[in-house]
Amino acid sequence: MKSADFASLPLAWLSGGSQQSDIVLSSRIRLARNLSGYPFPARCDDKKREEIAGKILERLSETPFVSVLGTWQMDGLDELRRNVLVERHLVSPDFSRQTGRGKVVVVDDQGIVSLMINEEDHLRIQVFLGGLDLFECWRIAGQVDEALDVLNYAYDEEFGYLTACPTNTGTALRASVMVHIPGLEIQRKLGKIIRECNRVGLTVRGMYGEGSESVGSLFQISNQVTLGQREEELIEKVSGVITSLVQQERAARLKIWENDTSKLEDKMWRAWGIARYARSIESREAMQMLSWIRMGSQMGILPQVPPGEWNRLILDIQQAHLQCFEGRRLAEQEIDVARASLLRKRLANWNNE
Amino acid sequence: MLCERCHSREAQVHIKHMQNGAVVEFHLCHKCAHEMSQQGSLPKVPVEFPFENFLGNLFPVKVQKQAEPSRKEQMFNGFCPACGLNYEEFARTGKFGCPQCYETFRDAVRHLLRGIHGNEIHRGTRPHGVASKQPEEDIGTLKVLLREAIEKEEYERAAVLRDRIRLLEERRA
Repeated sequence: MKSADFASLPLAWLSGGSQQSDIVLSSRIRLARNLSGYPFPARCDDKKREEIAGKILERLSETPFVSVLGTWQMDGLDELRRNVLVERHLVSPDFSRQTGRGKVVVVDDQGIVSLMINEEDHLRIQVFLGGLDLFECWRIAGQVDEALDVLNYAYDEEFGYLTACPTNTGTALRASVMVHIPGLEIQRKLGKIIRECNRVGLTVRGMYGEGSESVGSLFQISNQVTLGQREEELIEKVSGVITSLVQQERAARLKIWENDTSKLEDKMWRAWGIARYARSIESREAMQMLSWIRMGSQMGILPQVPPGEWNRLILDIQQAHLQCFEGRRLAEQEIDVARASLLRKRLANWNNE
Repeated sequence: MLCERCHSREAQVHIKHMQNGAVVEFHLCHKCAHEMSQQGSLPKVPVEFPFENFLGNLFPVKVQKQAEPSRKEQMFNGFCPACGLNYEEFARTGKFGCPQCYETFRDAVRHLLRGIHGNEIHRGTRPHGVASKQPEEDIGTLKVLLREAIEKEEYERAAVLRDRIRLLEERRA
């Protein structure tokens, strides 16, 4: 597959979702599973990992409702393609750097379900949808899980699903939601929100998860605890917090607009100007400008950029994506030039200045 | 890399230290690092391990020097028969070696999970094969665990177990 095609594989959430998708980009459910009778991947040799991957893939091929688009051995992909998978949140940054056989990523043809085989656990099932839709993600993940559980999962009556890291034990479920909350950021309410989330057992992270800083007012919020509560309870908690956060964000935007309309509009139009006309732009600045554009577009101040196009833009301006579109590795400066050029072209489509 | 002091074990503690403008490096195994830090021949840098630091006192501390090895000590001295992981290595990395480790270190794991999740009893879905087990059986197991917990005076855990049993009994009713 050509690298440009690899960087444009379908992802269902990009098209947006039905609920709260002005503020919520995507919902994701991740389940960790392990096969009993094998050590966890870090203590497996190549042969064992390949055996495990073989079992999972065989079973998956017999599963009618997951139509596999691609199955890739991580060590068979070049660095750019591996990084594209990270930028698309299909594999973890850690996984993209791990070497050894039997490390496999599977993606379905609708861009909803993906599997990481032999990352930290034998199997990670991920389901991504647009907007706030965790319960539907859970339903789909549950189906995949059920189809694969003939593989004899490592499970304990007391502790639940057994995972390599004790922070995942139990349900081994992580429900995470990506939100765009520039209004609350402008109002300097993030510290308070993070504290409140922590208090009820949720974690707030940047766009690229653990250890990543936030760019463009995008945050991932997920459950911290995985044991002692039912899956539905965990999901309910995340959904509830997000629903309230969405309302707070909408109110914050209105308030900011009321307080100083011209200043807000000025900021947004300047962002539009930079994104539309810059000849070279760094990732961080581009994300910041796009953040203003999304907000301005939703508030009816800037030209209407559809949410689907905006979602694609935040992926397409990432460096591995840009290099894949060019079909070669680029120097840092070239990347910034390519990014600016992509933004100019794409935003021109929505120009009604 | 082998430990530069004993030249026999794998070096797992790596220290780079600025001393009077020069960089001093140490590559040691745990045992030697421990001994040297006891002697005070290592620079005063935190040589604890990140995961232990991170989870603070969640890992039950091994009781030092007692005449009789306590039950606790026996529990932590074991190696997992399936993958060979020992408790110290687990405490250092925070990762299990295989599913069997949960059984091997069950008591310690319980303590650890309670620290991380505030709970150690799974209430979510089960795999198909396991799902055929009836709740009665489950309640039976839990009652045994409850009795154990009370005997060990682990009242917090006992309360969790009691609630779980109640829940299952309500569901059955």
